[in-house]
Amino acid sequence: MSALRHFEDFSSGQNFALGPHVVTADAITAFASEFDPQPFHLDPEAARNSVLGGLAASGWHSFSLCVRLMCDAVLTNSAVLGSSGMEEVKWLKPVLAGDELSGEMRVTAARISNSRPAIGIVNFISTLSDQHGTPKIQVTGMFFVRRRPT
Amino acid sequence: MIGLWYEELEIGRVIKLGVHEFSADAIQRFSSSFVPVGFHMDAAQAGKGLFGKTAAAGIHTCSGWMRSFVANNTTERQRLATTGKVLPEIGPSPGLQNIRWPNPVFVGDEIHYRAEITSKRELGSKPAWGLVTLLCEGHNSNGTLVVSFESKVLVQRRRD
Repeated sequence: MSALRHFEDFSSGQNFALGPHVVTADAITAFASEFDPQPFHLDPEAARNSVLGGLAASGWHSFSLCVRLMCDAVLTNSAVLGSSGMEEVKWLKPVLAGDELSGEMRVTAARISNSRPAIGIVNFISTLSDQHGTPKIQVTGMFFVRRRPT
Repeated sequence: MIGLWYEELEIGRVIKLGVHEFSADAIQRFSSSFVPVGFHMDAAQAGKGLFGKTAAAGIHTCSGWMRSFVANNTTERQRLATTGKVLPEIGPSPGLQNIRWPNPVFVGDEIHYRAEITSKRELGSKPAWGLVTLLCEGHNSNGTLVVSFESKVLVQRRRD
């Protein structure tokens, strides 16, 4: 497990590439039927006439995908302990069926927890854009990560 | 929102959205799809983590809020439609702020979700719509807060 990233491996200004990941119509409707069953997330015909302009992923789906891509790029290979929250999620444009999402997670701060000195806190801003370069979602948040055992 | 126009939504109004249970299977499926990190996936690693046992992913707890919100919204719209009321379109949300997961959600927990209208404003750039801010929360059966966030949603203004 020596390759596992710890707090000491994170520093402000670091960038990690996220994706690419293609969002399929099936994935959109599967997520929406469980968590956000509204016509513009379930039915391509209804979606075409909606304000979203086509079959669009639930915002909660695109948020979840952003976290998944952060896991794949960084977190599953880090001594992460979770998160107590996220400052902001911006749904900039609808994520449409067939969109290929890619982007980056930028580390904006890394500090040791005041209350739990064995744990570090990493702040980040992650942005995902589609295949045309149009930004679709931005997540600003934090996670806890263990310090490297001495 | 809930079949009401911007003008009909009052600051301070609380909407009880219902209860959502987090089964072991649902927690496992969500975490493996979206947050496949060790402490969500592996009981031994969870035991050594912050919570001592397997907990639902924070975004799963948030998604449960949406499920409850949509169910409530759909029921209210259907009810109002039968009265002959003309309903506004469902507007999009530009985003969320201040998402907090102050306490974990464990297998079998029932989360009671609610929303409170905390502010509203008209939009110069989109005169047909107003922006409504909701304080969204989920509590477990002991009354402990497990999730809170502020959600913004566009709501149509009455045309007449």
